Amino acid sequence: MKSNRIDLLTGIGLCLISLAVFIYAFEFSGRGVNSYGPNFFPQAIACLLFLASAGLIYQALKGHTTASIESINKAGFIKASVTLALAIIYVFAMNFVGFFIATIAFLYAVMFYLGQRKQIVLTITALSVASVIYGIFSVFLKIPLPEGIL
Amino acid sequence: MKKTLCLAAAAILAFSSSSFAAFPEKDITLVVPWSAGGGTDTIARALVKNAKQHIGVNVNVVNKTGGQGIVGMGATKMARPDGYTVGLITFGLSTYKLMGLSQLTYRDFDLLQLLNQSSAGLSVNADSKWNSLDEVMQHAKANPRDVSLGHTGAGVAWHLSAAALGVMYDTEFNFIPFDGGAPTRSALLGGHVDLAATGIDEVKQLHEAGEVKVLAVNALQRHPAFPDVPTLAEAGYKIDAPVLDWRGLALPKNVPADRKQFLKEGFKKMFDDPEFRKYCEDVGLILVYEDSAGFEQFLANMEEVLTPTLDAVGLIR
Amino acid sequence: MSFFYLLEAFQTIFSDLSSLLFILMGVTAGIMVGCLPGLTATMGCALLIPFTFSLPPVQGLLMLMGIFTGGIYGGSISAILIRTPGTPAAAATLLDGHPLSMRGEAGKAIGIGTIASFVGGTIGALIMAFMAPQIAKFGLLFGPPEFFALAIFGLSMIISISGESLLKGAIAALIGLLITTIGFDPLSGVPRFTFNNENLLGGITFIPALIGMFGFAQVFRNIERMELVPQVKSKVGRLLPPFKEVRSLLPTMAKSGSMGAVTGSVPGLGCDIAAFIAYGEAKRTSKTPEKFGQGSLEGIAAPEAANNGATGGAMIPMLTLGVPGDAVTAVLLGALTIHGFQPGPLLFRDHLDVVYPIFAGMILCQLVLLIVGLSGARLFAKLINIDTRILTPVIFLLCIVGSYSMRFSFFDVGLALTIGVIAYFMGKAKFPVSPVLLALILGPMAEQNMRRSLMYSQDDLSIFVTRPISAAFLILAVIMVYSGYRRFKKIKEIEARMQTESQHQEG
Repeated sequence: MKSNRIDLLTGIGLCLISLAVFIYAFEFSGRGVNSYGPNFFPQAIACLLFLASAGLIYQALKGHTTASIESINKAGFIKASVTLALAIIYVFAMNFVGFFIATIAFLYAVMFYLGQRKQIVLTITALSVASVIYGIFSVFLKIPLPEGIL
Repeated sequence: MKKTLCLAAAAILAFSSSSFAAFPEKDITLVVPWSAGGGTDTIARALVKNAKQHIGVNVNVVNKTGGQGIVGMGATKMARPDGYTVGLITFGLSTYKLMGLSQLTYRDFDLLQLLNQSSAGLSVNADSKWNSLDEVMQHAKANPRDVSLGHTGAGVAWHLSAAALGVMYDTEFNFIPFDGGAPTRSALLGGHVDLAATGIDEVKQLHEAGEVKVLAVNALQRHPAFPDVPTLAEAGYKIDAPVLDWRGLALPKNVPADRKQFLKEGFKKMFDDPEFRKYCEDVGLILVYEDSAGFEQFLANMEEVLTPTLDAVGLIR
Repeated sequence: MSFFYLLEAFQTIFSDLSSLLFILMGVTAGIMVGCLPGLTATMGCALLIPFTFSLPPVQGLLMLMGIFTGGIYGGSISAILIRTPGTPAAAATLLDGHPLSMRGEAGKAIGIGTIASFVGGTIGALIMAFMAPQIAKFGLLFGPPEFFALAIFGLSMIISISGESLLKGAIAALIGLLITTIGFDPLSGVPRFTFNNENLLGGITFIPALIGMFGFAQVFRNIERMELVPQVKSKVGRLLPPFKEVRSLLPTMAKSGSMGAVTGSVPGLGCDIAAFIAYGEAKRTSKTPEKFGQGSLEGIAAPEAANNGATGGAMIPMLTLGVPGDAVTAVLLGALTIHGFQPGPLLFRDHLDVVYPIFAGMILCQLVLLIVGLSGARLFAKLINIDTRILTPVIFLLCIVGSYSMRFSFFDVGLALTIGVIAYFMGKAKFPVSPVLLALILGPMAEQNMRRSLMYSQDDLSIFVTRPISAAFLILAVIMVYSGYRRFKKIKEIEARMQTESQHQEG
């Protein structure tokens, strides 16, 4: 039953998106191009998407489940969100403290949060992984990694 | 753990703040706004190949691609003005503002030098019934939009170069844009377009092998690698100020004067390196040097040339 | 004639063992680069070009071709093990590779992938060595209408990779197609859906999207699953599948390899499209299509053989015409010019001393790949038994660095993370992500060539059906969709029958 509701909501959402795209794409008609201009393809796809999502809504209303929907584990979901937040902090921090330090801290933090409590494992992994990546990217491939503002 | 981190941070801080040493004390980065392996990238890599001999440090090429080159050139503009970031700038910079893609113009940079200018070549397949530009133009004039003209993308130098010809001599081509030089060439070879406008150096091999006929070059002089190809004027269709593709080097604004001077001389040395010259000759690229002032003058002229042409093909915004 | 030249080239390579060493180094480096998400074969080659400056041209090239071969193969290792394709070309491999490794048969999956890569790659290299000029001519037959029809044919593969619901697969593909319209339109010079953000002017870049859809989404799923099930040590399993199984897969590998080589040789198609086409075709003709997506060996063999076959194919137009077949060969073309050889028709006239070592080197690369791959596979496969509390953060980190390093852009990291979150929810609602990926690959090709054709024909739609190759591919697409739909119905019926039977038994 719940899966139908999700299908219904996604269908409605996608219908609205395709409408918005269709209308917004009118802005693209440039001068000097033939009748199939830059707006044609997005609008054609938007129409098809509208039809397909209408189909999804129809199926959901009729009670056909298109597919079984996986439930979300609440504790696991929170864990994943926190990790994501850590990653965002990491990306911002990289600009300040540089790639190397930020990476060590990030790895240490995420491993700790996910339940690895052995200090020695944490330290060795964080240090070695950061060094190996730094080595491959910065020294070997000469990809410039953020140095930070220090 | 925290203590070690602090110590490490302090150590790094101490290292980097001792920056009174002579410039340059580390490798320099050259930002290339086009993808690795492409024409511009290869030239950049060939240019800095012997950097260590000339300026004592290496120059590393970094490709920041996307947005028709705007992302990479924007990155150069925003880079820390310490002289360690040099940017390659290309033709697109002359069109972004005119086409309404970005506010970026050459005025946002401290120009170092011009590297090269390339001119457009108009080619037909070897099996084409046409053997001269005049025959094509006659046919195109008599049958508007019948001659399909492949080019490398809307707003690219070759498109505008060919469009200028059409506007000047009141001829309507059926423009077919492709996404870059390679697909344009294969469309020409496969006979999917009648005529192609590309950089003339891009068809050097095919011309020599007799796979395509280059009808004319849109420049004031003939190209040394194509001594038998007439200029537009010689072919009977004179254009006073041809649209040229160009590449050059630039710095973000506010780089200290002494560092700027050092880079100016350093890159000039790399530019004069016989190995680089030989490479450019092999691929048919014409090197043109202009210093900062001359470069700026050239770019100012280019904007004036481009405005009416872009307008004619409906790309002004 | 060419056979004689080829033998001579082998002799030259073997006379100097350092050449073999460079191939070995290239292949190994390629595998490493390939299996790291975000580092593609293209990047590997581009970044290592400076290293080859100091080498003699042929050896430098051998090394780069090694990276190419190894890189395309290496992508499948991470696709199988962590459901994150290291290179786009491996995106089709994960459909069956990952389920197999979840069942504790990672070793077998990698083993089959390696053998398939070897078989496909060798076929590709042989086709390149003996039929390059003819194949190059074939590639030139493709003009805008043909490319459009081919893109439509490619998109019809969606029916093979849609999973449980065709409708949801179609919706996913349509969303993917819409995404490809973001950015500067090279045909008209108009920016679309960029909302004045210059970072979007180049569109949603492919690599961050790939890492987001597969890498990040998988990391989120892994973390969530950690809460549910404690880690079970899975067996790596035996590496070499029994000879009988390999032999039964040989026809699939041979067919996919040659299909890959031909696909790769059409300028602009490349390894990723080859892999998807081969996957769809293998599923269509398979005796056991219901196993596809659940860990079918054919489903690994086909795309792997095809993408490595395409490496040889992609070299053909680059060498014979100077028109690169895909992004990697564009880089190789640059490398050749830096070493003083302009690829193109003249290369075959003036520099047979370079051309044939390239052919011979390509064949050797495949052999080296087989040896390195099989000896390393056990090691790779053991990676999944590392404690997930350590492995997951490391994969997470690799994905972040990978999405950054494509353009050195934090915008791309943010983009990849966002796409990852969306893909995670899509997975929960059973929207398959592979169709999005396929649409991202084929969307620009479909749109641009459709409009290009219509510019050419001056708005006459009949251009798509009056040109024979174009018409043929459109018909093939229809057949693909029709037979795919019938197969889908059949599988559903079988499943339904099995369900009722098992219910009966329980009752």
